[in-house]
Amino acid sequence: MAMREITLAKAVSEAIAEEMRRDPTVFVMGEDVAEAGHPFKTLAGLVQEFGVERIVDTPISEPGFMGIAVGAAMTGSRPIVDLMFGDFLFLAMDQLCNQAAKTHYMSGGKLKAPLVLHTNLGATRRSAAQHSQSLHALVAHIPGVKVALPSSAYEAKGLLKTAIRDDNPVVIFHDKLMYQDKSQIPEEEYLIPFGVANVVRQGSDITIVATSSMVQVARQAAETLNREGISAEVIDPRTIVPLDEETILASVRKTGRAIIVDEGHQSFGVTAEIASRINEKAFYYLDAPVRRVGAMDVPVPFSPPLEDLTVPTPKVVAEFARLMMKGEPFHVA
Amino acid sequence: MSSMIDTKRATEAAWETPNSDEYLRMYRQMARIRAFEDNANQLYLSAKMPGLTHMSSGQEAVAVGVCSALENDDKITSTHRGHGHCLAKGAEIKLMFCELLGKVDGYCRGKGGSMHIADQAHGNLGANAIVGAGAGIATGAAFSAKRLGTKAVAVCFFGDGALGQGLVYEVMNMAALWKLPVIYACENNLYGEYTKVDEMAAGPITARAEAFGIEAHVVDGQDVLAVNRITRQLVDRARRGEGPFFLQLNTYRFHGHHVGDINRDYYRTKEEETFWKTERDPILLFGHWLVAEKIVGLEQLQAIEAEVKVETEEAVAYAQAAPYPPLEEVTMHVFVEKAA
Amino acid sequence: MSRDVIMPALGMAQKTGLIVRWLKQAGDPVKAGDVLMEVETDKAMMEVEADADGTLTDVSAAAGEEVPVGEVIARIADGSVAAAAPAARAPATPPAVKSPPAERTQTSTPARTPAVAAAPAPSPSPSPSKNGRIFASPRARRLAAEQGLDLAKLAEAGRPQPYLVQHLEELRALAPEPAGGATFAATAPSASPLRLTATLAKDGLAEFCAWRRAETGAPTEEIAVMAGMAAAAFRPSASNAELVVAAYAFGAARSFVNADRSGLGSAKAVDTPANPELVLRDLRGAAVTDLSLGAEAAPTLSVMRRGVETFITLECAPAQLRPEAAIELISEFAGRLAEPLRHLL
Repeated sequence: MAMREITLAKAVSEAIAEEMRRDPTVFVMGEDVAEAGHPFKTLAGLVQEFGVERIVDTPISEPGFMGIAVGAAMTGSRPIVDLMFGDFLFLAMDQLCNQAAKTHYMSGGKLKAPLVLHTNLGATRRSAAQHSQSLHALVAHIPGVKVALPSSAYEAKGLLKTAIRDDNPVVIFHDKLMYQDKSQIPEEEYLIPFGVANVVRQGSDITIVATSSMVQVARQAAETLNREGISAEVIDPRTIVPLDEETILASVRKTGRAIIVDEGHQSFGVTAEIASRINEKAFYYLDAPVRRVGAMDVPVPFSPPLEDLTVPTPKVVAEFARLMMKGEPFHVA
Repeated sequence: MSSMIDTKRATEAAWETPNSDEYLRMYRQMARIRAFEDNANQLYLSAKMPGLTHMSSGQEAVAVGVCSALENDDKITSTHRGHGHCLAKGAEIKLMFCELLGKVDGYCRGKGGSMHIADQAHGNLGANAIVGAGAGIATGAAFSAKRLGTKAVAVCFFGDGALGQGLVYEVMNMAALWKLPVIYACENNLYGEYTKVDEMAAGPITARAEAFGIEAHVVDGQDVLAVNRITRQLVDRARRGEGPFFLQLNTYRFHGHHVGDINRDYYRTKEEETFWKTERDPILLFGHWLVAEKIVGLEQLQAIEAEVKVETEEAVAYAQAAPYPPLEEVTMHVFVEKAA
Repeated sequence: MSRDVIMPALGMAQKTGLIVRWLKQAGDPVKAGDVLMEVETDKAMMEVEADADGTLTDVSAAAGEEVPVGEVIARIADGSVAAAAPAARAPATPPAVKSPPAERTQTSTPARTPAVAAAPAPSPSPSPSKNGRIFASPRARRLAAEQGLDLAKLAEAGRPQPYLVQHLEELRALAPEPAGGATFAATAPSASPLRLTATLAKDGLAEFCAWRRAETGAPTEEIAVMAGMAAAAFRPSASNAELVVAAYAFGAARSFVNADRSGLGSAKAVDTPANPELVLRDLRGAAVTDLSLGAEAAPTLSVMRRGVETFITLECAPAQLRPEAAIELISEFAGRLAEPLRHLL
């Protein structure tokens, strides 16, 4: 199979362009999406091919254009709404969660809202508290919304194409620090299905489940651990709604130990949900409590040395793994 | 400004063709809505209907006048006070009662209830429990219509209370920028919940739309023919790409904010209510006009009322006897499952 | 025609209303809009109006009565009606016993089962064995139970808790060694061991090995083949992905890993580990015709000669195998031993 290398930003614009060529009802709307091609340049080239009628610049009206996208989706269009920063999700929440997410259910299956909310997450860019949040847990909590978390350019293209073809509201988050990261992708068209996790690295001593850019963190920790004789298995769920539980559970049954790494806040988030499911369905295979590594429960600070403290790192993940292998009790017996 | 008024008067004159069949149809529709609301109210008071509902009695001319100017494929979005809009856009009475009672034959298989009734086959994108949210959806429907070239028009029904929601202005701004085929129909019934409109909305209502360069009109919401006339003009122009438009319809709700709002005199006087119920009832006004113009006799109107009464009571009985959804349906329709 | 006057529902959670006073009596003429009575709910006092013109009749609830919502308490008759005796109404029952109206959907919450396992928060205690409570990981606990090991022995030996899988080796080493130079520990189980037997008219092992040697030209040892059969028979009950069978023949121990995964007879021998999952003893060369040794650290299959017949025993602790699993193990093993070729196909 012929392969070529592209950046994540290019993967996004390729996925959108391919889907827009395939389906004339798909269009993009958001701030600075047309001539500017998006501040992160993920949409560069699209307005040249599809024109301003399909790549629609909006005023700074997140509730407004999210609402318009919902109405358009309910009446035959397939909008891709670009939200410049994931932090702006709060502005769009009523439209996404009270309207789009519930339309199919509240209408008894008669109406649907096929739309993609395309946005980002991730800190350490020195953008401070209101431009650095990872809010995917909030939308994953709402029945009726699917959530995709690509961990590379390869994942980004395949998952975004699937999202655009899905008949439900899908929120897809890229880590904003990964736009220039490259992967190899096939020349031929490919899609990545939702609800199928990827075992990034096989191992037998401990399972590390990681999302988005935390997959890189987990991989680096695994390499360090490998040099110490600890064999870590790294799993990328790719989508948290739907979640591929079975791959995670099979791994934990094998290893008996699990660490979940996610850039949402430590409390009340994705790590807690996955840890809980492992507890419910693989309890008798656990040789240690499941550990969670999330972002610190603080607003993201501006000052660089402080900001860097708040996110999961390979060092922290590896240290947890060592303690779990030793059998270090995490609380007094 | 004055030239716009002259043009309006000229176009109004051109629309003056009388059509007695259509008038009787509209009268029957208004009577149906009134009967529906009365029965729904009774169902609630006799503890036979779960949850709450919001009566639109008194506002029939708005719903019927506007919806009679729309085609089946034109879209509407509605509010929590949406039974009138739903019926006027073509819904069946008995299926609406089923939905209000949570029965499986209801428009949303019982899963929406009064505040979320949607009738997709007749272009009704749904009542909405979030005040103002319909504005986003209606504007989006207009966006789709323009993008996909369907020639459909969208009407957004909202109340004077929704004038406080920022979303409404955001989408009016975009509708004006992109010249979308949407009509913002503001049902000004003088009260947002329990507060007078002039304590909640500063400045003239129409000025808000005009600030975006959107042409705004005001009409007596109790005069079904006037409502219908202006709507037909605006719909036609919207279809030709001259939209969006704003239409303020002055009306009154006879009941309280919701069915439990019975003792209201702390915010509305009994005299005011009596005045609107006796002097400004849209059905009485239209009936008097039809008889005075000799379009129909009083006995015919009474016959319509009697038929509607029977129709509605049968619909209630049907809905009360209808089954609830099977329990498995609780987890259905969260997601659209793609056919393999 | 008369219309019902009902006790109205005036709030979402309201189930009854208290009639404070009637402003009209039975027989009074009323017009639509006239106040009929004052009703008190938990929120407020409300006036209830007549919704039609007529005469008030059949008043069946009095001031001071608590009436369920939806219940008919009077009628408005149009035209004059002789004051009829009010229909007897069931006396109001105390509010606490009211059941909601039939049509109200009963939300059924799934029964919240209380935490089944009595699991008090662990309190730090200096010597856990005093409490009797043993802290161990779920995996360690399960494996210990399967292998018939008693975690309390670790506590007695002074190993600090909690116990993990890595401590089971130590636990095994604590148990006394059985006579006969076996290289694995035996523990006395508290419950009676399981002992199952099977008899074969003849076994096809020698024949199969000869056939395989001829077909493949490869050396084929009976013990390796037998280990493969035992592994295949035991696979459904195996808890480890790497299934180790310790095989004994002529006094020598050989172990095979995943002997059922390579071709029958081609499994490679490895050093016998401390904790095989299954033990196989080929005693056909010995004079033993029966044995009853009790359970050992792992389920044990023994194969003996009785004249021309082949006699098989399976012994294990009840915690190691459920009865059905034990029956399946010996049946499958015996079947394969009887007709090796049939099971290959």
